[in-house]
Amino acid sequence: MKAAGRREPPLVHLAVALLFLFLLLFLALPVGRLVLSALGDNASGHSTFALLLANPLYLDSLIGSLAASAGAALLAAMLALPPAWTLWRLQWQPPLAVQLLGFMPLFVPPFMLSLSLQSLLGRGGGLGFWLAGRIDLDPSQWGLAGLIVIEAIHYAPLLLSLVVLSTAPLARDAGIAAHLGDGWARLTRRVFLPLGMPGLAFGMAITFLKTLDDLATPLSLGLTNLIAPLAYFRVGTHGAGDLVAAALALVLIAVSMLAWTLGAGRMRQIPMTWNGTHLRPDAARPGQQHLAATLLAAVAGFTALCYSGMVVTAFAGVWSHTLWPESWGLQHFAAALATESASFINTLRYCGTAALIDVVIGLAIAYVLRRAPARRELRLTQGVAGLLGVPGVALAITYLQCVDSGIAIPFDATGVLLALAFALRGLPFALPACSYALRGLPDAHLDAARLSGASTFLIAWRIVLPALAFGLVVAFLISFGIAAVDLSSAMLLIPSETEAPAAYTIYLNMQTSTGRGTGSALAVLAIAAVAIVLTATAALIARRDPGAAAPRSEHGAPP
Amino acid sequence: MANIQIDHLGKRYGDKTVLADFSLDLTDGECFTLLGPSGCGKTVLLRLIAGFEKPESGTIRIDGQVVTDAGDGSSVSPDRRGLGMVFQDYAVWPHMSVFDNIAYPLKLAGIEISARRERTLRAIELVGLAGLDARLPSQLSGGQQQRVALARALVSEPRLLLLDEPLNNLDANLREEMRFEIKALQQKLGITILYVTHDQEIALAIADRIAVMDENGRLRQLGTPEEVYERPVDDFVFRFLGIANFLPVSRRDGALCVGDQAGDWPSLPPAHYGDTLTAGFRPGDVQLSRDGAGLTGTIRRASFLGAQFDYLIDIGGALIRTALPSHDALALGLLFDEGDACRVGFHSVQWFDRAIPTSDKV
Ligand SMILES: Nc1ncnc2c1ncn2[C@@H]1O[C@H](COP(=O)(O)OP(=O)(O)OP(=O)(O)O)[C@@H](O)[C@H]1O
Ligand SMILES: [Mg+2]
Repeated sequence: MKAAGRREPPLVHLAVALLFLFLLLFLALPVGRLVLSALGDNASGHSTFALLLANPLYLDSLIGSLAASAGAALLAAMLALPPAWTLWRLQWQPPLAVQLLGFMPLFVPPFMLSLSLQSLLGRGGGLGFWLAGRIDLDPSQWGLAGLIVIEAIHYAPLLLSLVVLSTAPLARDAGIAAHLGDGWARLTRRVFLPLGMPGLAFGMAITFLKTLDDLATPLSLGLTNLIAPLAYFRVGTHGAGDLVAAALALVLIAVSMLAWTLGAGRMRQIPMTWNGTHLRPDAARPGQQHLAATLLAAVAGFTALCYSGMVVTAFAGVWSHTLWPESWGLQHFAAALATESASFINTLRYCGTAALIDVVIGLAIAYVLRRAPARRELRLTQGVAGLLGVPGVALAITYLQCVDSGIAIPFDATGVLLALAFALRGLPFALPACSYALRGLPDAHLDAARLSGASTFLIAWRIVLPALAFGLVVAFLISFGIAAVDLSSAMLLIPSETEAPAAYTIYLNMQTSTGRGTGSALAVLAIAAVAIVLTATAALIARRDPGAAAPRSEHGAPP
Repeated sequence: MANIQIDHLGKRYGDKTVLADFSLDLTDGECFTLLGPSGCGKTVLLRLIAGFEKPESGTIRIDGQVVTDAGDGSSVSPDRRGLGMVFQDYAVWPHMSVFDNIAYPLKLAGIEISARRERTLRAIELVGLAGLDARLPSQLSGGQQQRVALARALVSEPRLLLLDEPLNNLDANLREEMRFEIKALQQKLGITILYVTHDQEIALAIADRIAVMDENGRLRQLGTPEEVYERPVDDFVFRFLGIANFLPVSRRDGALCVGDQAGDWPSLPPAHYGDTLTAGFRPGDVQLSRDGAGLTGTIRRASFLGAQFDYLIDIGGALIRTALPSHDALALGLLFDEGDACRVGFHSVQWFDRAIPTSDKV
C-alpha cells in the first residue's frame, strides 16, 4: 500500500544514507575529479580538450564510435523486429525459459562472437579458407561494418526478447480484435508498436552503450581508431594519469549519458520495473504454434551457427588451412582446466564481491522504493538505471586517475577497485531482481510472525530469509554474470595478468593462434554454465509460482 | 473470552487523520462486526488493537488491562495481548507447509512436541483442512489458505480474535459457508470476535452487535443488526446496509406529497421534522399494484431475475427499484412491461429530515 506522508522507519533513512555515501564515494567524487582534471590545463599550459579537438585522430574516432554504436543498435533492431512482429502476429506467448535465454547476450561477451566468426570465415580455415580467392568474408577485413554486424547479431536476441515480453500480453486480445474486423496493419500501428517501443528502446540503448564501451571486440577485429580502444592505449602508453585518457573517458560518459537520456524517455515502465509476472501459457492454435516454434528455432539456429566457430575450435585438434578440422579431441578443455582454473577463482572473487555489494545495496534500495511515494520511487529508479550510462572504460580510467593521484593508493593492486566498478555497473540489473524478491514478502507476513511471538532474529531467520532467498540468489547471479563479462573495466583495472578474471584470460588466449583452442574451450564452458543457470532459474521460478502458470479455482485443489 | 475497551483513540498518518476520538466497547464472548467503506480505517484500528501501530492519543484495554496508552507511550507487545488475527490477505507464510504454518506459534511458545502436534492437528480439523497438512500454501485455493490463517490464529487459543475482511476473496457460496463456520466456531470456543468488513451482508449475518463507520473514521451507529437495519440513524447508514430508494417529499398543508401527488404512507415523520423531507425504503418495502391507491409511476425497466422481478419505476422524475417475488407477480397479475403505468405504496419507510439527492439515471 502506498500512501503519502507515511512515517518512515529509521532503517529507511539509514539505507538512503548508505546508498548516497556509496554513490558519492565511488562515483560522484571520482567522476568530479576526472572532470576537473580533464578540463584543466595540462603541464604545457594547454587545455586538454583543445588538444583533443586539434587532433583529427580523436574527432575521427569519436565519429567512428558513434557510427558503430548507432549502427549496431539500428541493425539489431532491424534483425529483431520482424521475428518479434511475426511471433506477435501468431499470438504466441513464449515459455519463461525461452524468454530468459533471450537475455543471454548480457552474460556472454561479444568478442567471442567476433572470434567465432573469424575462425569460421577467416582465411586461416573453415568456410573462409574454402571461399578464399572467390569472396573474402573475413570480418576482420570489414572495418567498422564488421563491428556493427557482430554487435548487432550478438544483441539481437536480447531485443527480440524485450519486444516479445512487452507485446505478448496483448497478443491474444489483438487476435480477437482482428477477428472482429480490425486490420492487422492498424493493430500493428496502434498496438504492437506502442507496446513494443519501450522494450525496443531499452534494447537499442543497451546495444548502443555496450558497443560504445566495448574494448575486446574492436581489438579482436584490429580496430583501434575508436574512443574506447584509444583511451585504453593511452593509459597503456602514457600511464594512469594521462590527461588525454581522462578527456576521452569524459567524452564516453557524456555520449553515454546523452544516449541513455534520449532512450530513457521512451521506456518509462519497462524492464527496470519488470515485475517478473510471466505470461499465461499460450492459447494459440496448434498450426500457429508450430510456425512460431519453427521461427524461433530458426533464430536460435542462426545464432548458434554464428557461435559454432568457437565450439568447433574448442573441440578441434589441428585446424589450419582446411575447411574442417583434421582431428578432434578434448585436449583444449583439459588444457583450459589445467592452466586457467586460477582465472575462474579470480572471477569468483571479483564478481562475487561485486554481486554481494549489489545484493545488499539493491535490497536496501528496493526496501526504500517500496515505502517511497510514487514520485520519489520513479526518480530513484531512474537514477539507478542511469548508472547504465557510465561506461566501464570511463569508470576504470576514473579510478585509475584516483590511484595515480594518490587518493586511492591503499586500493591499488588489490582488485578492490575492479569489484567496485563491477558493482556499480551491475546495480541497475540487480535492483529489479531485488525488488522482485521483496515483493514476495508483504508486511503482514512479518506482523503475523510478531503476533505469534517470534523475536526479531527469528523473524529474520525463519520468515524474511526464506521469503527473499530465491530472489536474492537470482539478483546475485545476474550481477555476477554481468560483472563476469565486463571486460571493459577488467582490461584496465586488473592488478596483474595472473590475477585476471576468466573473461580476460579467454580473450587473451583467443587472441593468439596457439591459445585459440584453449580460449574457445573456456568460452564454451562459460556459455554452457550461463545457459544452464538461466534454464534452471526459469524452471525454479515456474515451480515456485505455479499459480502464475495456471489460474487456480477457489474450490478445487490441485491433485 | 475477553472484552475490549477503546477510549478516545486518535491515529494520523502525516496530515491525514484516520481515527479521531474513537471509542468502542466490546463485551465478553460477543461477535462484533465493524462495517465501513474501503479506506475508512478498519485495518488501522485492528493493527492498533493488535499493537502493530501506536496511536497519537487514547487508550486500549483488553480484559481491563491497559495494553496501549498514548498518554505515557506504553504498549504491550502484540504477542502478549492474547489475541489472534486473520490478516486481510491471509499472510500465510508461503515457504511453510499447512502444518508448519499452524504449528509455528505453538513452537514459539515452547509447547513440547507431542502436545504441539496434537493441538495443531485439532486446529486443522476444526477448520476443515484435515488431510491437507503437508501441502504448501501455493497448492491451496484462496478459501483453503484463509482457513489456514484462521487455524493459525486459533491454535494458541486466544481470548480474542481479530478478523480483517477474511472472506473477501472467496466466491459467494464459499463466503456464505465460511460465514456460518466462523459463527459456529465462535459459539463453540466462546471467544470474542471483532470482525471488520465492508460487506453489509456478512456483517448483518454474523454479528451479535454491529457498528457502522463512515469514511472519516467516525462511528455513525451501533446496535444489534436488526436495530441498525430497521432504524438507521441517518441516510449514510441506511444506504450502507443495502439497496436504498429515496423519494423527495414535501409537507404541504399537513399532506406529505411527492411532486403533486399526496402519498399514502405507513408511518409519519416525527412532528419536529421540517417541510422538506426524504422517504427512504428498500426494494422489498414497495407495494406494487396496477391501480387503486398509491403514487402513480411508470415502469422504466423490467428485469426477471428468477426468484424475483426487478422493476425500475419513475415517480415524478425520481427513479426507484422494487423487488417483487416471482410467484406474487404471477399470482397477482403484476407482470409489467416497460412503459406501463403502476401504483406504488409502501410497507415501511424511513424518514429523513432533509433533501437527499435521488437517482434519475436508468
Ligand atoms: N502506514 C500507513 N501510512 C499512511 N497512511 C496509511 C497507512 N495505513 C493506512 N493508511 C491510510 O489510512 C486510511 C485507512 O486505511 P485502512 O487500511 O485502515 O482502510 P480499510 O478500512 O482497512 O480499507 P479496506 O476496506 O480497503 O481494507 C487510508 O486512507 C490509508 O491510506
Ligand atoms: Mg483493510
